[in-house]
Amino acid sequence: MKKTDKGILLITLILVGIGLIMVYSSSAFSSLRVMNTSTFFFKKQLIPLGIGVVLCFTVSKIDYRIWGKYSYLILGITILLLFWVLLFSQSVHGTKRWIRFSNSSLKWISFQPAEFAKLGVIIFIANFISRQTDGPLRRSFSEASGQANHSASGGLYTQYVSRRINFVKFRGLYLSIALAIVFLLIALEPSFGVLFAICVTCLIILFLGNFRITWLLLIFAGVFGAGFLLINHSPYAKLRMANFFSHEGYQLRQSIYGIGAGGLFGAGLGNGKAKLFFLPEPHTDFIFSIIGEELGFIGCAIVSVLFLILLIRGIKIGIRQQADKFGFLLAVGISFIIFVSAGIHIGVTCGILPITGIPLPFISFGGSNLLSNLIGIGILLNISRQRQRTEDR
Amino acid sequence: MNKQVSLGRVGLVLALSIGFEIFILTRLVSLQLFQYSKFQTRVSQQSKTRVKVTPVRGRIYDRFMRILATSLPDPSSASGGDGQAGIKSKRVYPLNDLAGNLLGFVGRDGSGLEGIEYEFDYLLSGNSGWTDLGKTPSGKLYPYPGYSRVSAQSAQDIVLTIDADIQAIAEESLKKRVNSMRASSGSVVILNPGTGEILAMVTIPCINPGNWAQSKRTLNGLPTILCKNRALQVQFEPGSTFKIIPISAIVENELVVFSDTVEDGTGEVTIEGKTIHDLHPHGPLTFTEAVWKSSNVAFVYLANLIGRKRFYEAARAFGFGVSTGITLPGEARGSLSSPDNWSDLEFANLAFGQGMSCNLLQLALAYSVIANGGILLEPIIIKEILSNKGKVIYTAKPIKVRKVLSEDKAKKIKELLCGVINEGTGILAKIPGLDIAGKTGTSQKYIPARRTSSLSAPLRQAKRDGADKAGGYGDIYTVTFVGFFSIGPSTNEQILIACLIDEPKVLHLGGQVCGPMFKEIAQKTIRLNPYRTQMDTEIKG
Repeated sequence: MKKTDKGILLITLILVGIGLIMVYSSSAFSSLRVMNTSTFFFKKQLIPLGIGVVLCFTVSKIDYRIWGKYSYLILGITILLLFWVLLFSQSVHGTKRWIRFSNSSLKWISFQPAEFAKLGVIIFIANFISRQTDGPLRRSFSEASGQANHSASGGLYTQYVSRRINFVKFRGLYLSIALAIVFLLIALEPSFGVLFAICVTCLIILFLGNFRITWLLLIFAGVFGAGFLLINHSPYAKLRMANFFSHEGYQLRQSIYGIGAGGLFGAGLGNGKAKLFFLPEPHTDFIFSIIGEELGFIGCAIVSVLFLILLIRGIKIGIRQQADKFGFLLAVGISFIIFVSAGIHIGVTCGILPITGIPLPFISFGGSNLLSNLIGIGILLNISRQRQRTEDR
Repeated sequence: MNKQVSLGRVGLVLALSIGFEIFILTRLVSLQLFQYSKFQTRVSQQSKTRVKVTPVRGRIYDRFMRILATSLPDPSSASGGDGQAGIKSKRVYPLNDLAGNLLGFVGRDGSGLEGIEYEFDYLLSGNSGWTDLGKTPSGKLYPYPGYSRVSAQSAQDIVLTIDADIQAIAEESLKKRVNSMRASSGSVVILNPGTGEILAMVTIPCINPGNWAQSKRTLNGLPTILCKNRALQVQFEPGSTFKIIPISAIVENELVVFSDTVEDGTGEVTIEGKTIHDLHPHGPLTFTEAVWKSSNVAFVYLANLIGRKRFYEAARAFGFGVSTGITLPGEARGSLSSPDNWSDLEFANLAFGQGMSCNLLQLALAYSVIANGGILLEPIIIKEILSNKGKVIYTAKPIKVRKVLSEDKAKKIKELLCGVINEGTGILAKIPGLDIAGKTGTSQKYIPARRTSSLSAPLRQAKRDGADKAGGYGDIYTVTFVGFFSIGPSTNEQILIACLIDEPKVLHLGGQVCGPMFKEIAQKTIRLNPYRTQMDTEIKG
């Protein structure tokens, strides 16, 4: 019998609920001043939420394996959209993150390709790695090369070695190039927060996909080096790094003040002061600071622990689905992209990570982020159902 | 079967994740539990500020609830923020300079600096409140609905005993008279001698309290001190109006019969080598005639008849030399030295009101004793105090200081004083059909020998002109006139008008200078509605 993981659903609903309340609380004052109505952002958030719930439900009905089948197409579309946003969108605060449709019938509809790229990349890597039946460098990858199963006989050792080299030469290169393109496009927007989250998640997927440690260290060094170069060549990022290390950044200071001022129980919903002119964009990249000030340590702890529980449940789903490596990696990847994003957001707002704009999954204002996360949950729910089906057999 | 998933790796990543979670929670504990109060203070300091809210200053009304002073919001002085709490109010005097020197004025900060505004500042200013305003990073203030506030207790209103109409009449007449006499200043006190309520208190020159800084500082081409309430804050030698003291002492002690001759007609008396004479030579005078004609020589004799101690006691009993008890700032209570120190000449001078001083209100109250049947009253300037909701929280009642004369003696003196107006020096104030009792006064001013910067221009001129006169009395005068009349049958239906014109140059006798002005004020006053209704119909015209 099909059975969805109700725990994941419940946690998601709780987080989305907290999100709606906090979006209202953190944006009411500024939207009243600017838009003459306190519910501007709140209402605007309801539309993607509605779409997101429908998509989540729909996706949970779709067999997740279909995503693996179309992973190249998905990555292709992702790359196209990322190109599109760089070439044709207008920049907002010096960044090009949004594709906007603003003709009369589609007024104010915009989305961030980078948010959807998260899913695209995870699906792609999960599929890619799972195509090697066993560990990528130890065993043959007959499935991927389209050959029929053959028994592991010593006579075929040479063939095996040559194929391994083949893989290293071509498939590994292929993966690296694909990811490098995506990462570079996101870095050019720039959208370092999302990029950071994707990188970390990719490394985790590779690690759990039984990649060799030496390889991982190489990749890690590559990513770290690229990151260092990026930061050094982007004045925007450089300033933020400098701010982080000197602890003088205005936003950072305000964010820490806000969280600290919350105390154990917080000032109460709507009573936060940091959102009153002090924290820019309190309803997006600093919403955790508002949670800290208004709901206190208790609110913060509940929210951050909920993300941890979500992660653990997601990994559990993955492990139960380990018979299908794609399913396992997809479940783990989705769980981690949510947890890592949340971790970066919380880490930034309470000053343990350098400032980078990243929304808190399910909670921050922003349609693309909410949509992509809800779709991710939908996929996760489907995997949990598949697990039941597998066991039933 | 090949194990596709390494649970060890999963465990490691999970452990790292839980480690990161614990790191975050530790950080939150440090920020929110251990450094809570530090951040709490910092946030509330940077985002909130407490602004004092001063209530709208109370109004000042005249006795018929006409607004003399009120406060209106003054948008031009809005201070910072998005408005609202920053607006100050501006003090407005709808009748401009009417009673300006009595009302006083307020300073830039809205607190009273002079007059009623100063004396009753604690009532008019009310209790200030405060409101918390939000503060933007750039320091701009804005109202935020959730912040607490203590609203200001709006101030109390004061109802004066002043009648704005009488005040206006008196101001107009006095201004005219001071100008036509080319005098340096003048003042008028009008009161109800039955209750002590002051109906008008006029000073010329006067200020416009709404714009006091720009008021003219000269009068008749001479520089002048503007903001003094001269009826109260300036003391002067009253001259013959002070004869009310010897008159009362004589009548109270029945020392002479009214028809007794008190002066044989010599018209002069020499004391300590100094000769005192009357203005015009006249024949022998009875006591009555001496009062009517205001013979100084006769009063020197009469004073001797009374004796120093009794004279002094009478003057004290009438309230000379002590504050009247009025609730207004800066009263000049005058001087009356002890009788032991009087030389014979000084005592002789006191008989006609030289060598001592008083303010115009004291003089008016002394005559009120005669008008109301022998009682010295405390003057009343505050009729009522209204709470911020308009409820009357204080009503003044007449305050009796002491009984000075018996009622019948007071009546006798009043009849004597009526003769002054009908037959004597006050004839110019006579209004046909109206019984006015009164007395004139002309006093010479003392020209000090020492250099003083506070001298009036005429005194300085006199000092330059005749060096011999310095340290003595010169030809510069203060003229006074006090009179009262009934507007109804009861003691409380009387009006007393005391006038003073200082340093007139055109004429210098009390009757001549003040008499016509007294008449004008009296006539116009009894045509006013509240007083007309109490009057006998034939006097209305």
